Amino acid sequence: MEQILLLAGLRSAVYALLALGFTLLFGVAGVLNLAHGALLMISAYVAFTAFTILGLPLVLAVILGVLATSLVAAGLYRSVICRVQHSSILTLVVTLAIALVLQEVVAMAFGLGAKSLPPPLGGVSTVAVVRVENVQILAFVVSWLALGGCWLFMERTRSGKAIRAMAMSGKGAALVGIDIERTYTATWALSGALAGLAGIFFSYPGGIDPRMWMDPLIISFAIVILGGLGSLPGSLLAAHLVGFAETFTYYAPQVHIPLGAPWVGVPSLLLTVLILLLRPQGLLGRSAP
Amino acid sequence: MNRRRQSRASYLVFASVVGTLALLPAFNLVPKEWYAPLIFANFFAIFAMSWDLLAGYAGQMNLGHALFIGVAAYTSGLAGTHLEWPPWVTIPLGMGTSVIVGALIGIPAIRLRGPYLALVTLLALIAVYKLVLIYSDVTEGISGMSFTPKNFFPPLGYDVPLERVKLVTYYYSLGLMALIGAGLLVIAHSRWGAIFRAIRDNEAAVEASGLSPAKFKVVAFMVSASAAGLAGAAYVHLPVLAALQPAGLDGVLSLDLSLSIIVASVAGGLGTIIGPLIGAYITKLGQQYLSALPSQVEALHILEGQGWISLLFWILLVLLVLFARKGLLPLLMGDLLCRPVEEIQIHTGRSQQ
Repeated sequence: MEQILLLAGLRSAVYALLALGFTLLFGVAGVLNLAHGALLMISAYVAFTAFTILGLPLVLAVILGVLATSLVAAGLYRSVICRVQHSSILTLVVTLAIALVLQEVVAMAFGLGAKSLPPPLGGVSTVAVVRVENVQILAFVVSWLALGGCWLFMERTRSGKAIRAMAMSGKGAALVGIDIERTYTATWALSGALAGLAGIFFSYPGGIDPRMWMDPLIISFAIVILGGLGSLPGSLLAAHLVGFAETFTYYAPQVHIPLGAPWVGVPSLLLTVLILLLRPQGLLGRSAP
Repeated sequence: MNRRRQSRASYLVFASVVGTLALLPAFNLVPKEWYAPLIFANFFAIFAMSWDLLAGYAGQMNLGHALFIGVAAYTSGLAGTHLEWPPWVTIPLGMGTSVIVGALIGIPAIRLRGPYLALVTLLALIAVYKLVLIYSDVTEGISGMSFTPKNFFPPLGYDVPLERVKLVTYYYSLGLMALIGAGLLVIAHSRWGAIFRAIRDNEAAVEASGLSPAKFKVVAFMVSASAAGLAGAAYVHLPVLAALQPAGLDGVLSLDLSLSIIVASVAGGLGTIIGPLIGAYITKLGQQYLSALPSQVEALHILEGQGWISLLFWILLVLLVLFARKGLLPLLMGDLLCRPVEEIQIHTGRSQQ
C-alpha cells in the first residue's frame, strides 16, 4: 500500500506534465486537442528510433524526441488547425483524424507490436521503506523541473506573458500588439514539447505501441475536466487525484483487488463523465462550459 | 414549394439507388467476390444514414456512433452464443439495448453543448471498448467473436443451398437498408425532422415556439440509435461475417468505424440522408477495391494490410473538413439536395394537423 501511494505521488508529476500541455492549448486557443495523446507517441517513437536503430546516446535521443514532437505540434497548427480552430466541433473531428493518421503511420513504420525503450536510469532504490525503480524518481524530478521551468517561462519571459495575455483575452492581446499567430504557434510548440517529455516517461512501465495514445488522452481529459478547463492550479490538484486513481488501478492486483493494467483509463473515463454531468465547471473552475 | 420538390427529389434518388442495387444481381453484374463487400456496404449505408439524422439534422455531433452499433452487435452476439437464444429474439434485444444506450447518451445532451457532448460520445465509446477487452473471456476480446451456423438468421443459414447464401444475404441486407433508409427519410422530412433541423440552427427559437429541445434531442438520439442498433444486431447474424471484431476499420466498436461513418457522410453531404447513403457505398466499395490492389499490382506489394486504406480515409477527412465542408456530392449536384439555412420553417403541432 505504501508503495502504491509513493508511486502514485511520483507518477502524478508525469500526469501533471501531460495535462499541462493539454490545458494550456485549451486556455489559450480554446482547442481541445484530441491528438495530444498521439504527440506523446511521436516522442516515444522518435526516441526509440534514435536510440535503438540509430544508436545515439539515450539523452540525445530523448532531446530529439521532445524537439520532434514540438515541431510536429507547431507544424500541425500551421498547416491544419489554424484553419479550423474557429469551430470547436471541426477541431475535434480534425484532431481525432490526425491522431488516427499518426497511429497508422507509426503502425506502418514499426508494426503493431509493442516496443520498449530502455529506461534512462536503471536500478532500484529504497525511499523510506519502499523500493521504487530509479526511472520513476527521475520521471518525478524531471517532470517537476519542467513544470517549474514552464512556470518561469510563463511568468518571466515576453513570449510567456504573451501566451498568458492571449489566454485572458485574444482581442485585448491583439490590441496591445501581440502577434496572435506567432503566439498560437508558440503555444502549440510548447504544448508539444511538454507532451513529448511526458511521452518519454509515460512508457514506463508498459512499453510503446501504435495504440498507446488513447490512455494518455483519456487521462489528460480527466485531469483537465476535473480541475476545470484552462485552470492550471486545478489541473495540478486533479493530476494527483487522477494519478492516484490510475496508479492504484494499475497496481491493484498486488493488494488482491481484481483490477490491473487493462483497467487503466477506466477511472479517468468515469471521473470525466461524472464531472461533465454533475459539475461541468470542474473542481476549481470558474465558469460552466 | 421548394421544400416539397427537394423532399420528392431525395425519395426519388433513394428509390433509384435501391432499385439499381436490387437489379445488379439480376443482370449478372456482380462478380462473386463483390457480394460480401456489397453486403457490408448495405450495412455501412444504414450506419451513415442514422448518423446523419443525429449529426446532420439535429446537429448533435456524435463522435462515437460505433457505440450504438457495437452495443447492439455485442448484446445480440453474446445472447446468441452464450444463452443460445435464436436471432429473432437477439436482434430486437440488441436493438432495444442500443436505444437505451442512445437515451443514456441523449440525456447529457440536454445540458452539454457542442464539443462537450462530442467528448461524452467519444469517451462512452472508448469505455465500452475497454470493457469488451477487459472481459475478453466472455467477448473473446480483440480477436473477435466467432459464430456457428445456428447463430445465423434463419432464412440465411439453415435451408439455403450454399451457392445461394450470398445472393439471399445480399437481398436481405438490401431489404433492411431500404426499410431503415426509407424510415429515416420519412422521419427526416416529417415534423420531427423539421424540429431536429431547428434545434441544430437555433435552439432558442425552438424553445420560444413552445417545443422542448431537450425532449427532441433525446428523441433524435434514440431514433438514430434504434436504426444503427437494428443494423448492428442484424450484422452479427450474417453468414458472410467471419468474426465480430471490436477494433479496426471492420470492427463494430472502434473509433475507426465512427470516423469512417463521418468520412462517408461528410463526403456525401451532411443533413441530406441521401448524401451519406451514396458516400457510404463509394467509401466502402472504394475500400474493397483498394484493399485488393496490393495483391494484383506488383509495385504496391509493400502496402499489404489494411493500414494504408485507413490512412487514406483519415487524410481524406482532414482534406474534406479543410476544403469541402459541404461535401463532395453537393458540390457536384448543386443545391438540389442541400437546403439553404434561411428556408427552414418550424412547424408547430397544430398547423400540420
